[in-house]
Amino acid sequence: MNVVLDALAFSNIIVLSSIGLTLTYITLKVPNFAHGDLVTIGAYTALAAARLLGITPYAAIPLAFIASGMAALASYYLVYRPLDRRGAGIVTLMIASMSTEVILRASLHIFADVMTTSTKSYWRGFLFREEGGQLTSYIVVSTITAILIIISLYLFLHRTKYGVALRAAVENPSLASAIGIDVDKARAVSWLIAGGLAGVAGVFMPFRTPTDPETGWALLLRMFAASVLGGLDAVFGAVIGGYVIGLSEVLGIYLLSGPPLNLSTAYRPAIPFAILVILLLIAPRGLSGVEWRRLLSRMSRGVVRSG
Amino acid sequence: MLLEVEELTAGYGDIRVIEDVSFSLGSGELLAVLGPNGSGKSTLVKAVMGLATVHSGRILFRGEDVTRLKPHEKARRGMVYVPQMNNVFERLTVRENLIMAGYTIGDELQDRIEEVLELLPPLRRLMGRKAWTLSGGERQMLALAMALVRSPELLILDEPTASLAPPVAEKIIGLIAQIRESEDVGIILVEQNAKLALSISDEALLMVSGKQVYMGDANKLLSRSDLSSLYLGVRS
Amino acid sequence: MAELFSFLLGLAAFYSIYQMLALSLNLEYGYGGLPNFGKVMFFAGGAFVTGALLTRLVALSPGAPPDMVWDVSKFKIYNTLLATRGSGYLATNPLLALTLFALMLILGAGVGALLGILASYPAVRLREDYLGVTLIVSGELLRIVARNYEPLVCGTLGVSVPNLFAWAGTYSELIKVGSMVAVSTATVLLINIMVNSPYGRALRAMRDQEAAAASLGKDVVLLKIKTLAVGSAIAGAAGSMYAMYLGAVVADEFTPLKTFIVWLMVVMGGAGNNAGACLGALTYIGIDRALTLFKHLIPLPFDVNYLYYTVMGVALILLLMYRPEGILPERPGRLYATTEISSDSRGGQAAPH
Ligand SMILES: Nc1ncnc2c1ncn2[C@@H]1O[C@H](COP(=O)(O)OP(=O)(O)O)[C@@H](O)[C@H]1O
Ligand SMILES: [Mg+2]
Repeated sequence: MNVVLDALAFSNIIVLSSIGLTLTYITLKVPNFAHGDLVTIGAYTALAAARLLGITPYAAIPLAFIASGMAALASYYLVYRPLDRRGAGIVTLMIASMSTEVILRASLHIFADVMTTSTKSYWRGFLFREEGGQLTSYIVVSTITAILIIISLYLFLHRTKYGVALRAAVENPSLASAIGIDVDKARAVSWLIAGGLAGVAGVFMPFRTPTDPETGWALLLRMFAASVLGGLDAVFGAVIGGYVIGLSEVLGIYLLSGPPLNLSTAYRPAIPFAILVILLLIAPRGLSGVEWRRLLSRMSRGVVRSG
Repeated sequence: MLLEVEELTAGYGDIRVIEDVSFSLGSGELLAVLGPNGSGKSTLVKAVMGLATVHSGRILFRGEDVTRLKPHEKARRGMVYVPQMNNVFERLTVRENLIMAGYTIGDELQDRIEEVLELLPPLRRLMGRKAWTLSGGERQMLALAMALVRSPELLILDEPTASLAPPVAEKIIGLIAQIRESEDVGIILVEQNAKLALSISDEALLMVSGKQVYMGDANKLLSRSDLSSLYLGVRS
Repeated sequence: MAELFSFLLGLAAFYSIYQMLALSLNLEYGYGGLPNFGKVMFFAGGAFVTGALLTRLVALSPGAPPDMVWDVSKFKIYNTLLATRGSGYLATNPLLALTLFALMLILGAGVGALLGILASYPAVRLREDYLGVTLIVSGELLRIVARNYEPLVCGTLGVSVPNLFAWAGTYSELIKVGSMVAVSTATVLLINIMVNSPYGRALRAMRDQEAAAASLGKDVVLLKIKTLAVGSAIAGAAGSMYAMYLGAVVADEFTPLKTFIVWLMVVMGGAGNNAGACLGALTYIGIDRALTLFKHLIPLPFDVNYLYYTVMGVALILLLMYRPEGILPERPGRLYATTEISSDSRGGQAAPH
């Protein structure tokens, strides 16, 4: 049972961050390698809030949203938008994405070191321990948070004028601007939300893994696997993708590490990796890219014919 | 004057596609932009809308210099543009598309949508459909409806009949003629089908290889046998 | 004086390694338009095979107890001792040592080429963005496997590698670095010959217009496989050299940061121009080595390398914005140069030495 709960908690983190990864991908078609570091920024914001302001990590969720959201917004305004304006191609944007990742991760290392020396306490490998020994409260909180965020994001994107405009702007920027939508602002909002959600995911991370400046980066593989599984251009595909990846990794390694295989649990990342590679090679556009209707009708026709 | 374009040179990035194009358009007038494929018709109207790079020249809308404004700022001033390709949001429903078209309109949006549906009744039963499921004619109708929702002062249509069956194309052209009657609007109509376009237009602009080779009365263009047989596919 | 000398030696050593990496990426991306965001994987492949085999091979020759070599739990403890003893043994046998040096380079290149062929499978099928993601995470997976699968390079502890140049006594370091420079220079020559051959022209045609290249009758798929195999073989040999130079292989060193550094070198120097890639490598390594030398003089509450990475990241982004063609841009019009004279004259200039 504990394994299932742990898998759920892990999946919540993956889901929250993958939604953002997909959201930034559809704005500029660039895979944001720095997305994992945005998760780490959220974790460190919660830690800083807990240590310096004395509030609980949960109370720091809005702060983490803002901090990671601002970092994402800054990378949009300072890196991607200027490059996009200069007509940069996909490879250039990817090099920029890799550079941004290096900058953010190195900055997190600097931050951790500076805080460690100035506060005389460790800012690496930290964990949020829950008081009162209630081990599973963060699982409940992270699940409720994930559900609330998914629902409100859905309502925002489909039921508000601004949300529909945002979808319109990412689908067809030139048409959107021709009907009066400020595409640039819509993209900026997408990056803000994407970063913010990564920050929220980051708050939950230190509840289950010792966190340091590299932890979020290590999640990138899972996020990409989740986003690709759901379809890199389908925001809510990332929700399904995230749960599939998170659950199959935790439950999968639980099964593989037991008898008869007794595999080391350190090979965990191989599971999302295998899923990612297989997916990319058979359905590179993700599950949403598969033409289900055609596939189903072909299968049913096959059944009729054989019957 | 509704729109004045003065010696416009434009293209994409450093590339120049059209050179020294000048024309003006008044309210209630219809200007046909004609020319062979690749002659720069789309580039011209994109440049007017701010979607292509303007290298030199000026664009005045109602006397205001709008040359350097962003597309969405022009849109908010009443300039309405229907692109040749990708002119509806495929992943949105027809209703969402119409709501988006009225993005800058406040409370009257519902009323405007009703009015437009009066003009284009076939759209009514398609409201819940995703735009990518529409047929070519239905799509153009939606694109036109999206433009009309916004009560345009200047309406720019880039080949609204391209790849439509002739009867459907004629219907669309008929609609455009109707729009000109019923609304106080200046229209720029980019067309491949010169005969069809000239039948409803006041003035015509003929583009060849990025240059303006004729600007003036629409009927007189047809009588210029040198141009009409060469570029318009019209036998006089 | 002695300090300056050893600084220069270190500089030359790292430069020759990174020059090979930069040239290999330049071949793939600069000439062929194949964005390899997994460079570190091929580099690591060469380093890992050297780390896994060299100490064991050398230990067996003078007759170390086989269980110390083959029993992982023992090898983990004794590999440093075995490497030291191996260095001593090789000090008396220069011929064997040099043979091993060459053998390791070939093995490293072989493993690199194999991984490159493997990577070409997604490379011919996926769009740039999906390919980039695949290669970056593949590299990380290789590192994770290496740090957990102890028989390879002793997991997180790392494995020691014997010094193959101990026979040169006091000149050991000089001759070692000299050999590395020689290997690296040979690579420069090889790549220059390649990019000026019909193969090189086909490569650029592929980059500039895949459709056109295909219509010219060039087999684009085969070209991609070949290019990734060659580029990765060079990276693998560089990895092998890296292991033999440092005398140790630690899995966790091979992070995507290395990929980033190589990209920085190529973009900074000028993609599509070998002289540029070399200049980029020299600039980066020069600053990096100087920083290592003066690190202790800079009073900072954190590791100055992090600051360096941050600055380099910013520099790369600024380069992409303001000078995307790099310091030494690719010479224009070369693809369609019809006279052989013009392409020959380029060959001589492209090498920086
Ligand atoms: N986005 C673009 N970037 C560069 N060149 C373009 C672009 N769009 C069109 N062109 C070029 O501009 C020229 C004119 O195209 P266009 O304005 O679409 O012509 P038309 O609409 O008259 O068929 C063509 O040569 C075309 O190749
Ligand atoms: Mg056109």
